[in-house]
Amino acid sequence: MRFPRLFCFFAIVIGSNVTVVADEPVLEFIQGLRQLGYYDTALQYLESVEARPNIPAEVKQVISYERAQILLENAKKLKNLNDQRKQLDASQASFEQFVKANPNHRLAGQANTARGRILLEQARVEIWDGDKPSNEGNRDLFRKNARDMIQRGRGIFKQAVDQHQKAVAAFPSFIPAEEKVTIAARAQAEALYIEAELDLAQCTYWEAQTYDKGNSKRKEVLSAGAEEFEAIHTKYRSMIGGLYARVWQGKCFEEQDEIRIALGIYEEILGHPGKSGTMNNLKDRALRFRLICLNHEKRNDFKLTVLEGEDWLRDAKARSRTDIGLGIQWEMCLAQENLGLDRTTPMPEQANYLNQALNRARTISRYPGELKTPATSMVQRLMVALNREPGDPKDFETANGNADVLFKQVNEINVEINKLLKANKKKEAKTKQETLIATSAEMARLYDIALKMVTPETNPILVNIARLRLAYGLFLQQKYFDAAVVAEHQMTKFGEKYPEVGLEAGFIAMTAFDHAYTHADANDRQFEGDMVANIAEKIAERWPESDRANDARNAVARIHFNADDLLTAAEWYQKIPVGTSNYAQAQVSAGKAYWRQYVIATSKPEAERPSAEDLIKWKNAAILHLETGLAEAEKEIPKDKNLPDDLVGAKLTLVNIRNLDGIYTQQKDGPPGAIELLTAEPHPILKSVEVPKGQPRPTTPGSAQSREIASFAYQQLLRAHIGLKNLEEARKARQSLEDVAGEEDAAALTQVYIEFGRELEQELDRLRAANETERLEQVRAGFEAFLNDLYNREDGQTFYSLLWIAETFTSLADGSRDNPTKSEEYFGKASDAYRKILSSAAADSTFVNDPGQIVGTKLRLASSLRKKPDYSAAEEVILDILKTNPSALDAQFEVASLYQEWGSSGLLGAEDKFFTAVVGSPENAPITIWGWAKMAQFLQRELFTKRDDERLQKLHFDARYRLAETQLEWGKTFSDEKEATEKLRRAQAAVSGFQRISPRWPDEEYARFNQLYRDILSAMGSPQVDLPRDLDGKAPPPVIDPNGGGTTNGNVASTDETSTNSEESGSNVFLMIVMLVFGGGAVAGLYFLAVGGNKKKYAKYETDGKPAPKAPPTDDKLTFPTGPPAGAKKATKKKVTTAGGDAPFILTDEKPQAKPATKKSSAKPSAKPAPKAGQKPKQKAAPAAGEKPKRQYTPEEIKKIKAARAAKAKAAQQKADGVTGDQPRKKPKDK
Amino acid sequence: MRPNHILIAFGLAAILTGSVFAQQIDTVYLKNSEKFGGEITEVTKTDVTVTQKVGNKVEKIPANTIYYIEWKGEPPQLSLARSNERSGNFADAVTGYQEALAALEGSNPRIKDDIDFMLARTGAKIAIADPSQAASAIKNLSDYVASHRDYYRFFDAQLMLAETALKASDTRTADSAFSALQQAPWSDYQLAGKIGSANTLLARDDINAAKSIFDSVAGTSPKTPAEKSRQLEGKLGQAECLQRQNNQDEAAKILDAVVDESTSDDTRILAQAYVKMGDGFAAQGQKNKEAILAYLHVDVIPSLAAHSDLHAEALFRLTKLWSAVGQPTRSADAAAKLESDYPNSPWTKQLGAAS
Repeated sequence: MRFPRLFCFFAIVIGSNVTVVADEPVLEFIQGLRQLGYYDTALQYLESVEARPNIPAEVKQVISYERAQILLENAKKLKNLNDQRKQLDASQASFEQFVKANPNHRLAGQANTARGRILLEQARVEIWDGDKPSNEGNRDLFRKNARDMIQRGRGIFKQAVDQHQKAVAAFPSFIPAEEKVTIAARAQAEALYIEAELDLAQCTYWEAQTYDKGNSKRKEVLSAGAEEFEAIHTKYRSMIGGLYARVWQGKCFEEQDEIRIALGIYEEILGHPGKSGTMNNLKDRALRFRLICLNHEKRNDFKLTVLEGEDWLRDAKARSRTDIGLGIQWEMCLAQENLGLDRTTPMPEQANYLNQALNRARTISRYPGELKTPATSMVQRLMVALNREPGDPKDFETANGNADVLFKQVNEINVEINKLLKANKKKEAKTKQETLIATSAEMARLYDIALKMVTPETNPILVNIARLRLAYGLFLQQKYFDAAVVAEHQMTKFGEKYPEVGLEAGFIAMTAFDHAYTHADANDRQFEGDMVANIAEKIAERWPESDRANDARNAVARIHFNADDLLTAAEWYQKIPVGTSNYAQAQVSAGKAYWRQYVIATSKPEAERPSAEDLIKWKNAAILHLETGLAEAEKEIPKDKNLPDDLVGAKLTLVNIRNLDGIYTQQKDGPPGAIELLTAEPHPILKSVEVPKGQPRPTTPGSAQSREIASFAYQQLLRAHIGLKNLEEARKARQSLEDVAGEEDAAALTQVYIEFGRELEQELDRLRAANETERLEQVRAGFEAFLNDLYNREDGQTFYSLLWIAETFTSLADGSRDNPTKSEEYFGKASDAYRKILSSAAADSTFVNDPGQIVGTKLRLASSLRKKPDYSAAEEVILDILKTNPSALDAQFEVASLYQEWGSSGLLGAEDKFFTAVVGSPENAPITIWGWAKMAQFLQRELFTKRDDERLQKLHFDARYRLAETQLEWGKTFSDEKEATEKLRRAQAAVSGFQRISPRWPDEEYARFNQLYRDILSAMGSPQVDLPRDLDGKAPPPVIDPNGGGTTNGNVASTDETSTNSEESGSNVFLMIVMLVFGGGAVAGLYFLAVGGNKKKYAKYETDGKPAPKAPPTDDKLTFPTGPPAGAKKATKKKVTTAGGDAPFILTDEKPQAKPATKKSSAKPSAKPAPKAGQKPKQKAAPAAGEKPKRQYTPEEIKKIKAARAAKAKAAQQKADGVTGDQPRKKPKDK
Repeated sequence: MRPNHILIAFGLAAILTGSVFAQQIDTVYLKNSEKFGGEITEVTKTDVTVTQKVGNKVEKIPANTIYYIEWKGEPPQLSLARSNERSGNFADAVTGYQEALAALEGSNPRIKDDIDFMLARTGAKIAIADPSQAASAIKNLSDYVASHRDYYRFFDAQLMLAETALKASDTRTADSAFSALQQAPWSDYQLAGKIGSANTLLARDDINAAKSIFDSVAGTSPKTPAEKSRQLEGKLGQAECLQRQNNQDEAAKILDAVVDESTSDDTRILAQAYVKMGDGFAAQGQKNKEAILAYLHVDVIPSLAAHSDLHAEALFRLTKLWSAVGQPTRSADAAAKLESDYPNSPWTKQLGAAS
């Protein structure tokens, strides 16, 4: 950086030594240097310009102003207080020089404002310095200096106010709307005027700070300040400057002990809508002042202070290190200190509060500013209150000993968290976690100190343990990279000499990276995944025989699995040797990986598809490993027990394969068929998916008894009976399927039938891909005969039976694209079945339960006719739907698809349909058709308010894609090059324009849009280049808080509910480390960190390894997420235990006391139905005896307070005549 | 009274009672963690001779292998001062050494010579993080070298002087000290002299000449751990040259090798390697996480963080990188740590300038 900068500077200076080029953009260049932070270069350049003889007058006039600005900006960046002070003085002098020389210049007002602010800032520093205990003797002198500066500042601000007022008055009272530049200039002048007025009032506030609390003069000045701020607020109540004045008015009241009034004002501000940076700043300030009020002796609402502070931190972690953010945390510290020292607080809670205060105070004390000194003092006080030495230890032994004491506490807290979690008290556990983090921070700090004082005489074993625990402490603070770095260093540099510690360290490193991977953005975690694999490979290479190595192999495999690098994943699973506890699970996982590889490969376009031999090889490998793994695992499960969920998933995958291969029942010497796997002992799948009569099915994803898994099992049963052409058994299976799928939600049944159809379609695709032509014909013929039989039965037909027939014919048609005659015939039959539903419903109103089913059937009919294709008939049906449901999104999608396909059909005059597909119907048409363009806009608007709606997001992507695709197809139909190019350019713009306005696309979307983009370029005859993957400023969204803590209470429950096998087992693999190294207590904390604080899960995949759905949303199918395969865990060999300060290091061959995480234990959590959020008791624990009642706020009370605050704010908002809070006014910088 | 209080009280009593608990013999601690106890009977610039009363065994210990000496009758403050120096509390260390000097009864001038060296060394360490102290540090070390030509700390002082001068861009002093170092009888110190000369050339932007020296050092066949460390320093120099020539890939390979081959005792080499690694990743763009991980080594591994100049640099880089990966809180914390731990570091001064 240095070279180009200097080069640039010297090039200009040398070039300008001779003469000044008249049009040299001097001021722009200075501004550029300032923006880049090249202050010294800017000053040198300014000096060289000033020395030139022919400098233009307008430049010469502002040189001192520019210099002052540079010095001021530079001063703000300087960290050394003395340097900063010098720069501020120089800046002040330069501004003064400018104002004296140019009192009427347009920049004079701004120069005065800057001068005044420098003085005010200097006065504030004087006040803080004077408040330091060390300056007690000179306090009056400091304050007098401050008052003098404020007085000078006041005079300058008065000038500035006059100057800005004149500037505003210079604008005409009416400016036509089209003169946008003038309007913006006036707005800017007004903002400067308001700022100057605020600055003036600020002088009064700060003058009050130069008097002791309780002093009558202070009260008098504060009272005057309140009036000044009120006057500003009254004038500008609808502007952000007015709101700032309001906050400071509250502050003046607070300092006059008018707490109630101040709180009212802050509540009013906090209730304002708006989340812009300016509004956040304003509200943060209001919250800080509010917390000061709550901590005030008149209120002593310490618990509420902590609660509101924690709420704020969860939402605003990224702002936690601003001055105001630190101020909010400082108030939390004060509140926690008070609670911790309050004798009425229960003993264990006292320590919790003090530990949390200590951790925060330490952080605050690192930051320069007004809070540094008090925070440092608080640290000393808290150390004494916690019975610790106030100063840092001076030798390894002391530091290590103190850290060991905390380590013991950390483990105790973990045990408590474990208990709370077992008792389903997640909220309390979450609170406890704050203490865990605070204590582990102090523990890590002490181990860090200890390690810095190692001498040659220090016991190396203690040093190794300290390093391991330092990594652990960092891990508990959710500093995963930091933990990994320390642990990996231990493994690589000390592993040879201390292999046991090295192995555990390696495991911590892997765990840490694994958590980093889990918490990283799904689109940006390749690095973390690579690091897990890297460490795991080292462990497996260095300690190949250890159980850790197997866990490591599992971890590597899982990472590859999640990245869809399935063959590598399978290879890693196969490295887990026979006879180990992980073997069965690894075999199952290898089978799943091969199957998924087969499924993904078969779904690829023919040109990209691997050879049929490879496909069959992978399918056979899947069968082999699934059979081996299941047989091995089932050996360990008593016959009367059900299979665990993950094995049910694996067995269902095998059933799926059996159905694909036509092995419906066991043949002589053959393997068990689909029917046996589903129904025969031991461990039939259908038994595992059963629930006792009357008991609701669990909603936990991946649970064998969930409706999704049970329904999939019955679909497979139905599929097998159809294959056997056993009509009666198939009917029974279909009935069971209806009972399972429709028992709680009738609408879901429709979806199940659609899903069944898609399964069939995929089965046909797979057979075709693997060149299994004979089997393909067999399946097709079998289904056709079966469906014809069913359809021709006149009696007993219901809405669902007909729907099933129609859907299955549709899927058969979709799966028979290789045979257009057959496909058309099947679509025709599907249409007949849909029509039959409609006619039956018309004849008998009880035929359907819900009128929506008729609309849905019509939509499916239209789709079927479109695909047949019978465009006119499809048009008739879809327009009929739109007549009564013009805003039905699915119908609009269908009609746009219809016209797009019609346009592409090559039929005479069909290209006109493209117009409707793109732009929809004319404005006054009797039936509204949106077309892709309006649809995309509509969805974009919807997403403004429903950002997290995944279905809308998918629809939006689809609409945008189809819009560009239609324009491409349309463009290709023109023989006129100009017209074709115009359409193709529009197609191109549709893709690139969409990319510019969207956040970073997921990989899958990028891939399909990129391909489309290349196709468009190809059609244009341009070179095919890729779309940029990351546009400027479109980098992956920042992970503001990857370390958890950002979840709301409500989210905690929901996160837990959605935790899958994968997450728990994935984490549990790594949590073993703590069992072995730190004892069982630590597991709870890690578990909770992994589950409770987690926001992003591993990508889920389906039981049968199907690829992610790519079909349009109307064809959305059910998925059966069970999570990635995970290994069973068991530790039986040597362990390293670190029992705490008293018995720091034990090498033993004994089994660990903590229960090892076996297959069972890892599967256990997921088998339990997750508690429902609504079932959680909302009542907080009763107040401890003797606690002051007024300090107790129940959640209901807090809710009421918040509601009252919101209502009050709303009222104030209405009164304020449309204050938006987001007005484009400049905020006063130092307010 | 709790155990910690007892310990402290005990420590205080030891200090107050002066020589009651002072060393009864001289103990020479070596860099390889071995130690020799006895009476130091001779000290030259190349050796320290220890004579053990039992068996009248005489051990001549080469000066380049000595970590430090615990002197018989040394003031008790000395031990605490050494500990403070080790843990980076340089101001406390200086105070401790000065108190030890004051408490010295003058019976053993060798102790005074040693304390003088430790004072000069601590001054140099302070100067590494605070360049405004460089001039006085260089003067103290120059004075020490001039007045202790036959003391076992002579070559260490030369090395310290050379490195401090180089840091302060005083290449003339650095050149002269590095040349003196090449006169040492031990190959590791000779190599250190060569490396220093190469670094001086690098400071003058003579990359090719510097690289040729680094290549020769990197190509040596080390026989002792000390020589191995010098060889690794040579490789570090190679990597630096390659980075300056914008050959990041080659540099990265060498740095990986340096990290692999370093022992845990090569803390400065490791810290330098990680900083250079981070620089390489950062220069390549799109590798922010890799760069963060590299710099974090120098922040969170205590033995590497003890190198204040490199730690400050790593913190500065982390400040920028945490922001770049969307973690403003970590960025602010790194900046605060830099400001509070190294207020006078040039990196702290740069904090706002290039943002």
